[in-house]
Amino acid sequence: MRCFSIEELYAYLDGDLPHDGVHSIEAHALACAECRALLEDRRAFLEAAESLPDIEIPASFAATIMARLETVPAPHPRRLPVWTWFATASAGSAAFLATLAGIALLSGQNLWEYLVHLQHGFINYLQGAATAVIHLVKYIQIFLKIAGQFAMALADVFKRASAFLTPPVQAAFAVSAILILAMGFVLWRRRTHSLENDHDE
Amino acid sequence: MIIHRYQQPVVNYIGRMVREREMALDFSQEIFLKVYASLRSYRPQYKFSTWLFKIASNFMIDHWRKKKLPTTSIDQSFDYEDDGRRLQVADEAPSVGRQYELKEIRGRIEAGLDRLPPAFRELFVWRHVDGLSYEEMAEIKKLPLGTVKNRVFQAKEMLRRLLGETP
Repeated sequence: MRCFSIEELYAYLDGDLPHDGVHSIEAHALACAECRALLEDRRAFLEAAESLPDIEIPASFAATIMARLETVPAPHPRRLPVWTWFATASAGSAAFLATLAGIALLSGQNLWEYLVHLQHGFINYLQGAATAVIHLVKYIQIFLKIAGQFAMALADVFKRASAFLTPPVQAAFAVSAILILAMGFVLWRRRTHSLENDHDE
Repeated sequence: MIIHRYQQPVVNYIGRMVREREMALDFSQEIFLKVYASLRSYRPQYKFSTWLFKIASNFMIDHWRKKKLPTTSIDQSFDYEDDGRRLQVADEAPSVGRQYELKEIRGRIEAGLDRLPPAFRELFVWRHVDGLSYEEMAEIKKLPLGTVKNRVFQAKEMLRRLLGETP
């Protein structure tokens, strides 16, 4: 049986040989002192390499990275290439037009008249949607303004109260204020509800 | 947590590349920050460790370029040593196992790594210190599997020869 190359011996030690190869090397190493010595030599070398000590890492290593991460801006969202947007838009438009043509054909309508009719409907829809959005934005603005003023007033009350009240008393005060507000709201709702019922009767 | 899971292999790799613990820790931190900054470019079809080591390897290449240190291209052939002798055929070095104790072999390997070209050192450390598979290393370096196996083999034999030379 032939002697094996160093590369084959390493492949054996690496577990990178097929079953037949493993068997051949083991059988040969039993009979050949020179190959056995080479094998043991490389085995000792690799065992030493694979048991090199880890480089010591301080316990604060991960925490330091996490602290630095807080100062690093968040990763930007990945942008899709322009051609992706173009292809998506084209496919969407083609599908939309095909659907319209299909509907027009199935309903027996003239495609052109059908498109004109759709366009009018679409413009009306856009006008309605735009009006609704404008109203919604106005309501949100008013709500934010009132909520902001209310929060400022509340913060001012707490600020003044904190000058002479201990933290537990402040907490009790805050909880009481919230409870009173909640109860007031519930009572107001019940009264409004009963008035509506009287009016209906 | 990503950092806890991968900090030891990354520090082991960078430490063996720069041969200075404090610098290795600093570089490893930078690598984890880069990993975080590039998280959106990670594709789940690849192993996370492959992607991470690719970033670490690129970081080291940039470092050597900035320092203008002599680097060795992975594409360069290493069939011959500096004096022109064929690297692998003859085996005249004395037996490592018989000559030295395990602790001493480790010390000599650490010293020998200094003298190994970086491109070979990198593959050797990945394979035999961090335990990466050949397939993973081929993916990281974008090299054919056979080429990676051959480079690792050459790295091992170079290093083993250096054991007898290092004090």
